[in-house]
Amino acid sequence: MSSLHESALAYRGRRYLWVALALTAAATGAYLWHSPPLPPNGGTWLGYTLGIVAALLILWLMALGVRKRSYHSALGTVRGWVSAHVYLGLAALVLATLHTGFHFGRNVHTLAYALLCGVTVLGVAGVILYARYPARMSANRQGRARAQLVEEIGDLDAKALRVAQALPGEYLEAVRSARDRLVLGGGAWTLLTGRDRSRVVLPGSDGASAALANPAQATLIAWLGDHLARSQDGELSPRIQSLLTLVSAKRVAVERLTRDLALQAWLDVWLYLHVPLSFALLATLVAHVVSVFLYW
Amino acid sequence: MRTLIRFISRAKGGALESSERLFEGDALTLGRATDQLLQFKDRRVAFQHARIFRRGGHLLLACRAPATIIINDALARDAELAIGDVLRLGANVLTLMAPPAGVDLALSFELDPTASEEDLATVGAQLRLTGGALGKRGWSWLLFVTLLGAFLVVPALLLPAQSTREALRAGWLPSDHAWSPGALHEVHGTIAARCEACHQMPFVSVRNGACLACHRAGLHRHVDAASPASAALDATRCVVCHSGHQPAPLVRTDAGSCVDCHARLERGSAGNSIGGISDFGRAHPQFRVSLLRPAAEGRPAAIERLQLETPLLREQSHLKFPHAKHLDPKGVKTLDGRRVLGCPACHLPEPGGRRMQPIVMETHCQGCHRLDFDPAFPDRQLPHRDVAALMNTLLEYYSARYLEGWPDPGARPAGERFVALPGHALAPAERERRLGLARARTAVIARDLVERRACAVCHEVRATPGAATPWQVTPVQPTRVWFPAARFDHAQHTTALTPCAACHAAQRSTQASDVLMPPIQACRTCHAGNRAASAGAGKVATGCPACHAFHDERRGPWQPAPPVVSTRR
Repeated sequence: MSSLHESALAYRGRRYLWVALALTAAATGAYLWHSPPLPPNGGTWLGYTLGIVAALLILWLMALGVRKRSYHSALGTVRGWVSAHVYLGLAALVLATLHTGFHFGRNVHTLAYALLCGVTVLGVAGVILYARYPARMSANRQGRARAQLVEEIGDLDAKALRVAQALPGEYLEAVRSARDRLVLGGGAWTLLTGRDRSRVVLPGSDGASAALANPAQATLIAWLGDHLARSQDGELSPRIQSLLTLVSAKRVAVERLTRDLALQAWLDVWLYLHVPLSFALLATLVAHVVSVFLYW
Repeated sequence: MRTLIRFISRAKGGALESSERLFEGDALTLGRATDQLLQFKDRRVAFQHARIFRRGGHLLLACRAPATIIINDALARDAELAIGDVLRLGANVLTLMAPPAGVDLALSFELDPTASEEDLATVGAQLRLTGGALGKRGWSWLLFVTLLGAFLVVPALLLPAQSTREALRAGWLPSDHAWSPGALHEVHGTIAARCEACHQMPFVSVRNGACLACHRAGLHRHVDAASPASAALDATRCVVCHSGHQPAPLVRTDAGSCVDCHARLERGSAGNSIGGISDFGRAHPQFRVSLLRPAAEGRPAAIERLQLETPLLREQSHLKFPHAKHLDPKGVKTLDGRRVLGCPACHLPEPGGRRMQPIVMETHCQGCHRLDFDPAFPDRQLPHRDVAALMNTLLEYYSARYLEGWPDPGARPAGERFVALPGHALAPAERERRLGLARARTAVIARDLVERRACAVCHEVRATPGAATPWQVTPVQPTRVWFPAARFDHAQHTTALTPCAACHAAQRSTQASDVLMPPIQACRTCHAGNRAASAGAGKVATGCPACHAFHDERRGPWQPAPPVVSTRR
């Protein structure tokens, strides 16, 4: 259960938790002690200090994206960086909040702060996601790689086709169409919700075929089960039975893979929100700092 | 619609194999997607490429734009189909056949033998999230560039020209208004949204010139122009004390920017007491009152600033007035009996309530301290303020009376009654005798009034024998402005907590020379220094501007020096 990301939080006895707590306590203490002549704001010496420290922290937090790609870097381990990223990221929000002096308005300054809040909330969500999902993915895949699951599905399809060749043409068509019209993954929404948009072409009662929805191969299994129940042929029935067994196994594999893709998609979508939103924050942070001095 | 499709494939030897299948649906849908009746594994085919359907006996083909299809070697998007037409979608070839009975549409399907292997490769499903068209890095860049452009680069680039600046502000895109830290103070409503009215130079703090564009008149110096400190003060930036945007106040009311200098100034240097001041509650000198030092041998009268609570501090107003006697709780004797007087019996606020009206004899005193001189004519009063006028009035009065046969015409025996015959003047000797009586009477009454009964009650009177007027009454010169360098508003202090006696110890004052101005300790019972919290609970935080003005009207108009580089504090 102990995943890499959980241990990243506990890195070296939660060293960075204590660093972040110390930073937060110092900033909060200074804010409470400081009683500037004007209402607290980002323009007092403490306001400037908090703002500079928070801005440097944000730049450093974003440098994690660089560090984790620099495989030869000797600047600490990525685990240490992730641990510090999480704890100091939370501290940065506290510092920035004190920097605002709790004055908010419809301006670029508050937009930057709101984006920081958004990025931080997403960050917390990411910590939770990465603490739980990798373990769930391992449990779901039962130690196998994703490619192995895909291969397993292909293998089951090949076996089913082989069995179906010895059956009347409609079986072969059904199994082949189920193979051809199997959908693995898809767009963002399909991946995240784990929807199976697979289809199968089955002959109708009047002999005309139609492409039917076949989520988790359920339609094909029902059709095969129906035919098996009605089959009187002593030679045909065991083959239909084998086909049913194979498609059921494929169903399990497809469901497992779909869940795996969904879990992976949630981890991916988190990065797609956290990272671009961080850059949005960086843009408004630059606009905030420059505009304050441009209109000094 | 029932559709028959004949699937034709070529075996390795070249022999044709075919199988037929019947499909049911509203239309025959063609495409790469899994829900299409006829699915192609060909990248050049769209997911929902085209549909073939029947309408009014016609067989129609409709491609979903931008997809197209080749019909009989001609490109088409929508077409009516006929038996024998050949349709090509990528490497797929469809040929319309004559439908057998009970079938609406029949066609054969085969792969173009010349199609390459790659075209026919199965399209792999997307198993990972890719972030759509842009990817993570693309989205990051897009957001970064968009936000930086919208909130900084574009407004900054459009700033220099008024037309572009105004156009941006009028539109819905972010303009430099997005940089505003807070609304302007209401008094600056006329500036409205013209940021450049104050922010004239980029990366330069608001300069005095921007403020003076409107506030040219009515500003006053902080020190005299001749003072050595004036050069530095002239260069003081307005924004040190004034702020345009809320929530910072329009005028700072804390001590901060004052004590920057006044804490450092040496106390007593250049004969001042403006140094070493950092906090009203803890580091502020005792108040100094302005008192008139009367003219004496060889030196003219002058105003002196004297510290309160110094021994022998007396006001030399030349008035005799015991406050205690007038404020006797048992009351003072008046014509109508005893009457208890309070402070407002004499001290009434000026309109606006800030200061007290001056005390005027006729208004405030004469009700009791009457200037009548003859019990027989109690309503007849003498003029105040001028001994010569007083004596003239007495002389005129008694001359007339004596010439008429006074004293007491009614008590005189009838025979002695003087009756002036018409056309007969008084004999010169008699007339002179009577005027002599009048002069003597005037002298007696005047002495009684001036030295004993009236003037000397309140005034310092000096006999000047041989002079035109035999007495000199020293004019009263009460102090009108005790604290010229501070503002005190009586109206703001009319609370139940602060009766007059809380500050002015008039009840115990027996002489007019007592200085009844409250010392700093009296103020400090309610007013703390810069920070109420650090001075103890239950007090009012009081910065310098509560009492003192930076722009001092006594110092003459201020024409600030041109901005000095790097005066930021």
